Amino acid sequence: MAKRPPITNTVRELREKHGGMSQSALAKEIGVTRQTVIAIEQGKYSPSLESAFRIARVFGVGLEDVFGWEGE
Amino acid sequence: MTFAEKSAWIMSFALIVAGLLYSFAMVAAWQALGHAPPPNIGFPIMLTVPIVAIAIFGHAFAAIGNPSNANEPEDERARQVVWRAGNLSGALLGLFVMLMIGVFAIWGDGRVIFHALVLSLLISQLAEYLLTIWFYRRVV
Repeated sequence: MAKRPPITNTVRELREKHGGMSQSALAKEIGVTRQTVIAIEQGKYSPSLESAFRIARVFGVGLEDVFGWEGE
Repeated sequence: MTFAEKSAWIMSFALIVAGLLYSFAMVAAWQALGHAPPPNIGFPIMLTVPIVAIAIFGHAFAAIGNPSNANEPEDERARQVVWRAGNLSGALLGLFVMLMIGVFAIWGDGRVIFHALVLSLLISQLAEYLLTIWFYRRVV
């Protein structure tokens, strides 16, 4: 089985801060399925650089505010 | 669950049903003839009809149940899942073909190879759908 990627993210927290944005709404904004947003939040999938930038832009924050390296 | 994953479940079921029908028919014919049944059009038809029927009705019901889900385009994760599952099942098919070549070189019975190749195609395709489900549920 593939190892869990060592990348952490704050997508769930950012959604909650942005008026409880739904996973479906975020998925639509960045052009992926809701299941992919769920997988990103659970740390099961590391999005492409393009999607990572799209997520950061949706929340109006920098890339490093959304994604980080495990243990840092 | 994405529509692609639902589709993989439907196709896995279709392939298992078709594979079992094919295997039972082949074994029965083998026992009746006393040797491997010769290739004929009946066997591929026996395999194709249930697959097509289950695929059409299964996908129709899945789409009716959740139309918006069915219209979702394939995203980047889905492409990775499909690519990985296809890659591994392709390797499995290659392995089966190599095995069949070895069996043919030793046994020399083309009738056995025909049925073994049909089942190899079926198993490798089934592996692709099962791996698709696995990757959708695990880390990609």
